[in-house]
Amino acid sequence: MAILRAGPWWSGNQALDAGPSTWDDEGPDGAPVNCADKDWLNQSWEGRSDYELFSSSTGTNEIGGKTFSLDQYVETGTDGFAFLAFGFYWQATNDFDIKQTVETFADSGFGDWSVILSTIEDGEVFNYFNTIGGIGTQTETFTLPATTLGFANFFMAEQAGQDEDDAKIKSKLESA
Amino acid sequence: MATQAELDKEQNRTKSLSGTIGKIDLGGGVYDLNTRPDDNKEGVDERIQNDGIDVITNPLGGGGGGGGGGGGNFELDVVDDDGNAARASFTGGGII
Repeated sequence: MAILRAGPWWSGNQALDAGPSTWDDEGPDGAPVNCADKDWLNQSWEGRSDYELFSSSTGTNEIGGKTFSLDQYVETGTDGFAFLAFGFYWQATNDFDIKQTVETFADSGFGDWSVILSTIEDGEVFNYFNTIGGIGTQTETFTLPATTLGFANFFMAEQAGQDEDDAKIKSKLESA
Repeated sequence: MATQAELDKEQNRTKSLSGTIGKIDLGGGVYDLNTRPDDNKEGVDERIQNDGIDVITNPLGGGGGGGGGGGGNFELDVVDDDGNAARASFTGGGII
């Protein structure tokens, strides 16, 4: 059975207008609602990305974000600690796969990568955790189930080594 | 005691009936509301139990049904059964 579109954005239990063209501080409420890994007829697929950088030497932190497309890399700046999160809602009548690539840059860095998928029908349906860090790239493919409305969260963080500030995260999502 | 679901069902049914009645020409067909029952056409009683099955001389024209809403066409985005973004068209009838 077909699913009526929600959105364009969604937050909590209500639809929101399309996301902002600029991103102030912690950004807007909500996240885009997508048709699986495809474009709507009048709106391209988009996700929400948020980042945070922290310098232990200066005690300063920087936050921000933007929307992104499938197959588009998003990267943080470089500092003592780097955090990057992707989020989007999806609606799908069939299961589909999303492949994520995560790249880290700190010589002696360490961190973690987690993915949580939730649906309105079944709550949290998938929870993934892996360690990342150092100089390298990892990829993983996740299956997002059919749902009238689901929410996907991808978290990545890297902590640089002692007295170093070369932590950085770069990542993208793509159809698989 | 009727449940809320039963009450809702009955309300929807009566709404549907009122929509259907709106399609019938009450002036010159089976039953004229502006006259006394005795003046109505031969063989047509005001009470159905007194006359069996009425002969409908002015059948519903052009579809009936529908009810409220006032018609109008509109489109909504959907995810279709194949998992693709699509646009569903709704014609006439409207939504109550």
